[in-house]
Amino acid sequence: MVGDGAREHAIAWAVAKSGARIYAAVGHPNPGLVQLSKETGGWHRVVKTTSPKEVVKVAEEASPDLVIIGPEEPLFAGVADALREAGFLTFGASAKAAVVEMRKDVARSLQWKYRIPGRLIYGVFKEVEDAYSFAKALGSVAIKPIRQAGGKGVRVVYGDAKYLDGAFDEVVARGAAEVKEQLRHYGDVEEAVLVEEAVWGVEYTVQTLTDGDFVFPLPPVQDNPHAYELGLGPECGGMGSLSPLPFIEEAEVDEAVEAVRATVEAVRREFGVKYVGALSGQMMLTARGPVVIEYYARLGDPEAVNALFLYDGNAYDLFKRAAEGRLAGAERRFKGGYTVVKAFAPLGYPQSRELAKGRRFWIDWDLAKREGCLVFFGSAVESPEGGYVTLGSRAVEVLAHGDTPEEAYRRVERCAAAVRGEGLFHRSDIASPWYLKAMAEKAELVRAVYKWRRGRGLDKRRIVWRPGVGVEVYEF
Amino acid sequence: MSAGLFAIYHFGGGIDLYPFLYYGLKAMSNRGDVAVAYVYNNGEIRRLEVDLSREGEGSAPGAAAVGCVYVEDCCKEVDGGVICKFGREEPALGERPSATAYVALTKDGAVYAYRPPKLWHLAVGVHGFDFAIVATEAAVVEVLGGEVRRSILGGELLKIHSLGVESTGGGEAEELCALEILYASRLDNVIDGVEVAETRAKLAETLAEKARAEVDVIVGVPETGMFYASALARRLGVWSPPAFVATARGRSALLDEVKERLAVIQLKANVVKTVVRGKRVMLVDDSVISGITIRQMAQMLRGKAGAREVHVAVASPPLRRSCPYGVKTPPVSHMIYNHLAPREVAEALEVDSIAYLEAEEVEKAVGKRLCTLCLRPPLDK
Repeated sequence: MVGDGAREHAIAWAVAKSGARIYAAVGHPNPGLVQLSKETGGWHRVVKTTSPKEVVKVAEEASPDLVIIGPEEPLFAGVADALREAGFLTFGASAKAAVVEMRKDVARSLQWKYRIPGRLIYGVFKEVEDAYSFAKALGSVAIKPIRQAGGKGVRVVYGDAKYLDGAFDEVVARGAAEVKEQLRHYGDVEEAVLVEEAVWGVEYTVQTLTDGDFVFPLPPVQDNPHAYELGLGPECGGMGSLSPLPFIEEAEVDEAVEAVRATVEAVRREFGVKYVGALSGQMMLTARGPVVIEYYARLGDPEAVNALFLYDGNAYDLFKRAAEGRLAGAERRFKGGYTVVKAFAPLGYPQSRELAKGRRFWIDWDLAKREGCLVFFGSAVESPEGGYVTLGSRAVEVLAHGDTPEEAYRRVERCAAAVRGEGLFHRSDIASPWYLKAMAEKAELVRAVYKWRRGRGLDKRRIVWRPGVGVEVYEF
Repeated sequence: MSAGLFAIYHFGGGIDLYPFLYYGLKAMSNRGDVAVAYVYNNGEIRRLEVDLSREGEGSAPGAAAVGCVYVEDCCKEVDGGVICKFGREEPALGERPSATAYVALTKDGAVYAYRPPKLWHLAVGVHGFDFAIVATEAAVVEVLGGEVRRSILGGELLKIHSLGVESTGGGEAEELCALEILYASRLDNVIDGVEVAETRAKLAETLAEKARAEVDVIVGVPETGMFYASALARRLGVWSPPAFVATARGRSALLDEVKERLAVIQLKANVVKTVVRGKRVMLVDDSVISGITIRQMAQMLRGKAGAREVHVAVASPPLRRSCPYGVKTPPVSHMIYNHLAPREVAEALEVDSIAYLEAEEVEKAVGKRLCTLCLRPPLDK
């Protein structure tokens, strides 16, 4: 297992349940992975997980039957390629294929070139001024770094109200400038800004496993990117998730799966590589139907936790089949009911990592057990003085299961009391009854509009008119 | 009615908040015309008087701001920051008074928003990843291009700062101020998940049971009365055209001086004669306090425009008492039902008949408990 977040803990938990022995290559000794590897007779090594050399070395020491890479950064760095070259059966996209997540501009151009469903109008700009002018023409815009940056640096401005023209200028211009700053820090792409139309609606993630031919979808999950209570505040890695989704129709999930399938095919044609690993569509149900907000070349975090809990087959076999190109025969069996996952982050996250670091906390295992909740560790390590200490990002994720979303919600909120310590917060609004009602209402609103549009063929063509610049026609 | 409270927090640091303040406060000009704001910028709090009649003329650099619209300034500097509040209590920042709503700005730039367990409303919303917005009228969030999350719960205190949003306390709000629903709120306000328009339509249904006069046309007193008129007309199967053209907008009940009030009535309603001439007319208003508005309108309809009969339907009980919680009302001595028996009121106002809702009927139609103190007869009567 490569990686050290709650997602990797959840994957390891699922494959260990299927009888696997866990060897973990981690950037920090994630308490969950440390314990699982110990319990199953394996071990863990702390390495730089984005270093192909170091990870291959761990693999050589462990000699595993299967390597699963959890996070995206090792994929971008070519860890999957290095492992395969060294002869290890590996689940995880090659660097070439993972570009669909790493480079948002590449993903968008691929979508347009191969007519992948769920496209958005976009532009890529090196100069803040140009980005700004294009943003003005689009009205409502999302501004993003062209490179995946852990959900940071994203700005969304709804500029439909003409009287507020100008009011958001500063937000847009500063967003574009910050995006460039962010990219300078990575240093592996040019400093350019992606500007795309901002859409409004209900988000959902469709995670899939693929062997390059066959696509195996997991139940749809909704993540919540705002860091703070009530869905306020900056974008972050995701504060909680619900699965499956009572407010998303099956056909809308199918469309997302179709988009992912078409992307796997596009990757093969464009880059000449088979996509072997996880590929997820982070979708939004909008007034134009389901659109792809972005791709993950991995499972989502926390979405993976929901999906892996719900998977009721042999998880080890599932990942192995994907890596071997035999995914078509994988067992499709899922538990009934609903899951809710809540992330617990240290105060300071995501604005100030320094503040968020070094906060001690404890888990009341009896309470978690009594309520039947599962705890997955993320950005935390065991403290030498007892308990755990945060490293700056989301520290733990707690999952609860129930027959109804409400039952799962109540249970996970009771379990929230099991995470004890100073300065950890979670979002209590996610999956609450009012939240579910609001999601259902929003979904109904946009659904009625996109179905109306489709009924009249209005989904086929869009005209973007930039006064003084000209007309651009987009065929969908 | 209560004051319009407003707060905005920009998670991305200082920008020019003026446009947001201006339109946020302007969107609550149904609650008054004195608009005040305080803006936090780099450790300093600056006071800003916002002239709602002058668009786009100001600047307010900052990361957070609070403000208020009412008939008087309702913000003030207190220990630790600034508070804009409505209610008689004087809470310290972070306290939970029983009947006072507030938004506050602390010296270090955090925003508090507190809705008391009863009476007043506040909603919270979001714009993108950048703004948190709090306002008495939920529609303010939409006016600023954002999305309403929900009403703040009764007794819930929100603290919004750069590192988080903390919600503490709160349950089902009880005993909302009846005036908020009857006429203070914007028609598009959403209180605890129910749009005010939906509630007012129900009130009109109840009013339809009581306003039994046979009429040819139903007209509403601008602006709140117009929705009631149209909902009533739908029920009674009668035409309800716009019958008045406004020259200036203003809420007549907000003005104390009778003279001023008369001027406002003429400015806000010149009659479209064709729609009432020779007809039996039902005039619908949202409230009756002194009755002066109704008398004036009725006289215009009859004397200037040639209406044959003028019947009045009021979608609320008459105002009878002043408010112990701080709502500004005209003096009790100006309230007509304190001085005349109901059957004499029609005579005094020179109308053919007058129907209104009783407090119990309002509560029944709204479907929850309301504070109707000011709509009850004075204790000494």
